[in-house]
Amino acid sequence: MNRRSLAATLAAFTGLVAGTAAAETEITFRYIQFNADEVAAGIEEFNRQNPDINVIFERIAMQDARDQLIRETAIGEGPDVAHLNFVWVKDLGVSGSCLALNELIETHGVGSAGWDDFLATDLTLAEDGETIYGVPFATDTWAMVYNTELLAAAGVDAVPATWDELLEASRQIKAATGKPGFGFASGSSGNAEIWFLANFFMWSNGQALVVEDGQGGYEVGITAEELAAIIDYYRTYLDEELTIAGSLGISTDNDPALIEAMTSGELGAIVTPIFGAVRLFDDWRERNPGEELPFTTAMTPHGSGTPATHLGGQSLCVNAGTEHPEEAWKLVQWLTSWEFFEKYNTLFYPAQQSLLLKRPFPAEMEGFQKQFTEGARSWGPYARGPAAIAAMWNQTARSFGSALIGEQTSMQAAEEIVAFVQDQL
Amino acid sequence: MAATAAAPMPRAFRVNTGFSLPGELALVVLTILVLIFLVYPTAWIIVASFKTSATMFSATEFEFTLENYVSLFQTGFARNIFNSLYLCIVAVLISTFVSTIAAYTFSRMRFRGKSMIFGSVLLGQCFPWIILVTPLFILFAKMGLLNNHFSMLFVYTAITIPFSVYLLVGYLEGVPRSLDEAAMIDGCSRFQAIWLIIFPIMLPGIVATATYAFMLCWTEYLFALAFLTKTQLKTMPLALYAFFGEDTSEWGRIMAASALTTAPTLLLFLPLQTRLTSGLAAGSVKQ
Amino acid sequence: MSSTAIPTARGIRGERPFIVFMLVPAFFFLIMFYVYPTLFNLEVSFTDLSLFGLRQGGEWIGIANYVELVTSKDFHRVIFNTVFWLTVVGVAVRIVLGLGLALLLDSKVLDKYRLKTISRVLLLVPWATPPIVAIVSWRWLLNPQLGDINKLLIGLGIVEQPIAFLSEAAWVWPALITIITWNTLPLVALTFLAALQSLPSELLEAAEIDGAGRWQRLRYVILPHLKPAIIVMTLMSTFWTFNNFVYVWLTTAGGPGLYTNVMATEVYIKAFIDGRMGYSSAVGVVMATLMVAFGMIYLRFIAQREFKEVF
Repeated sequence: MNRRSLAATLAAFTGLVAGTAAAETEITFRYIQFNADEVAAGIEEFNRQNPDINVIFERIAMQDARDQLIRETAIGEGPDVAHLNFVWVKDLGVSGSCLALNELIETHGVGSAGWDDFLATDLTLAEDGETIYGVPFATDTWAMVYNTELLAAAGVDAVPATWDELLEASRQIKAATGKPGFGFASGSSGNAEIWFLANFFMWSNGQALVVEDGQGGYEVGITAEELAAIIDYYRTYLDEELTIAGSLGISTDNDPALIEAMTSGELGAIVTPIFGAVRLFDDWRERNPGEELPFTTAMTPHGSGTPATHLGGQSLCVNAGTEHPEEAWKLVQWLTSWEFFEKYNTLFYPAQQSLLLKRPFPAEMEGFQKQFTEGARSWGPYARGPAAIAAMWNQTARSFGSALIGEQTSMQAAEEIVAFVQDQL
Repeated sequence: MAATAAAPMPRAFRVNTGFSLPGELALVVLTILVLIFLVYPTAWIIVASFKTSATMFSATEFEFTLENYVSLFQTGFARNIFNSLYLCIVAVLISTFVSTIAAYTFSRMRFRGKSMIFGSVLLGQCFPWIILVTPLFILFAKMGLLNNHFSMLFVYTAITIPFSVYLLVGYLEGVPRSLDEAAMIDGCSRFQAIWLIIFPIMLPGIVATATYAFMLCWTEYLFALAFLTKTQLKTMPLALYAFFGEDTSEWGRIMAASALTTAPTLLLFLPLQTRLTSGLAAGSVKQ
Repeated sequence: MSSTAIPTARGIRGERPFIVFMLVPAFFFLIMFYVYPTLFNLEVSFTDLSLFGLRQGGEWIGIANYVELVTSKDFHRVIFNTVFWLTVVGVAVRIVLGLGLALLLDSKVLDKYRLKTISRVLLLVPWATPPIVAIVSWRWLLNPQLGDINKLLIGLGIVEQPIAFLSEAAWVWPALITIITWNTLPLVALTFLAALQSLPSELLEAAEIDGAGRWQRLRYVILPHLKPAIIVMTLMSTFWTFNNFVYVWLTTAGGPGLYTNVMATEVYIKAFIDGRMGYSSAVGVVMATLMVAFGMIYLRFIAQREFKEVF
């Protein structure tokens, strides 16, 4: 019975504490990126400025965030404000996890220059094109980082502009130095980043896995032959050992194996998001203090069209079951303010045009700057269409993987992907 | 043999091992190689946790730092350690108690349907946990038990019962029934017989069982992930796993957290080594 | 053991409240934890419930999920991977190595060279290492550029080029099994070691006097003595391995392609990546059914051999 009386005492005590703080509304914010420390400090700042609101900060691993939120919201649980990948918002909105924000935006406004100032808003809309389920928060895109010393050693004067030039440069680097030219992750987990590389290639050739059919529907925008050529292209790097050994065993282009190879000068080039490059440069400078950076950044290669990468990032959504939408909205407004980005989210770029101008890219990041303004596109029809991005992503990575290890031909793998996407549409 | 024929040696070296000297040395070398294989991966993590980020993955360089641990504890990891310890210890106590009384009943009593009931307890071991997560999540949500240590205590008790019962019944089978019967004839009640006679004899088996159960809870990730989302309540594996990001991972913290997750189990195991051996012998190897 | 069992017909009736009292706590946990979710899965497996539709619920579609599953090419491979690689090969390696390790650790040679205690203590290290930590470490050790294993192989001149263990089709299963074996070997070895120690030394001595060589002693004295332990460990390892999600998921996520996809990862992929809770539940039901069927064999065995008195 001791235990019970202890529990009763505890309950009474908690009640007492809660009673004294009754004026405070408690809401929860769940964050998924690795700079949780500085963001948490930003939340504390918000709590200081709003004594009537107490935001509790939670951190969850990104790979588990979506499933967990779906489980929770299905039974009316979960954080009041959640940090989500750009591409999850529509699905979560449709499933009833995220609150429609139109009314809140109309009455209270959003961001520093209104809704139209936000990037990638198409990913936050329901199929009707009007209902808004999320507010774009931070944004990012990918570009190339080259090792200038290896390029020079191989006699490559200009950074490769096309995919074929990249392959040729890799061969020259291999011949001249014995080192791999282009490092990328070709692993096959459900969120393997070969998915991005496949899309970068097809987009820069004017193709896409999902396009609008012009009659309000969606269709596959690439033939199996074209897709097979992409698989063959990346496979060449593996066959000729032009990429790092073990590429098939890693799933992210920021894997330490790739970053370490770049930092130690063992690899010619990588393709990476903004902060991947930032981290690489920081690591290199730490190890080689005072020396000049042997790297240059550039846009991704292109095919018959222009370079294209995805506009990535995360959005904020408000739980459909929240009891405190007003307070949650206040938090969203703080998180999308310049003050917050300036002090508490220094690693990521805000997903608002007007704020982006306030955070110029350093000179060494020129390639990213260019990619951002000229070569980044939204997922668009991928997200708007009926096919779930996660499922297409998984299928693409799996089929690529099985072709890259030679389990099936690239044509079979390509047909598998096209059939899967067609089926989903 | 060669060993015994060799020059005067300390007493221990005159043991006849049944092997010639080269054979003995080969076995010793083999043992050392096997031990390196067993220890190396864990040792590697512990060493890496004291390296700076610049030298962490470099085989040749080593710069000592405590920065990884400092930065780990800044995330509130002490709280995660406490949560894990608390959950695992309480769950193991409940589970071992429940399993002990059930095991005693299975071993000593006869009742209708016993083999079926006992069989169904043991079958608990063959359920894949992955299929239990979502239904349990919905069930707990309906009962308002999410983000609550009660639900985790429940889960951790439940996952450890089947194997614990199995081990303990096996152990009890090695304890002669005449012991408790004699005690009861001497006027002990059944509870007294259990507490005064059986329990002390069973203690090594109970310790082995509890250790096993502790391990199971300590490393559990799937259920904790689904049921605990509040930072204040999270266990060590959850906190550790959250350091793996989508595009980047905080390797310094991961290494430090890994080392700290391994340390308590190592410290728990090493002193228990002999008890574990005898406990397992009796528990899972009925002679 | 003697058959001087306590209960008589009278005893059974008289002790019923006691029996109920002793068993109810265990059953409370087991029914809530195992039975309810299993029934839930069974029901969901006959619907098209989607992850995004958890709130709305699914439609009853009969056995469609099961038909799809049986005819799916991918699923045949999942079954093969789970049964052959993960379970048969994985368990066999563990039992054989566990046996060898136990014999080694039991050898008098270790006693003589003062290695006995230290080796038994170090044997526990892998077991004390949580799977997540083990995987982090092994992924690095197996890394082609930075991993110590490749450095060692190249240094010894065994290979010229580093091997990408976790991505080459020829190596990925052996590498996975190495990781699982490393982490789970101590329990198996320890159990065998314990059984070895309970072998009466007179038996071995008698065999030796009768002129039995080392192999003969192993074959005719030691192995028969260990047989129950071997069988129990085989059965239990089968449960633990077949159902395990963490090792495969965190090491290869089922890749490259779906080359190492197993049932547990398939349940996860279908439910949480493809969002098909209904189909995923059907996979889960098949998985549980296979294991329960296997569990019956296991029960029969321990009923006959181990727990004669209990059953």
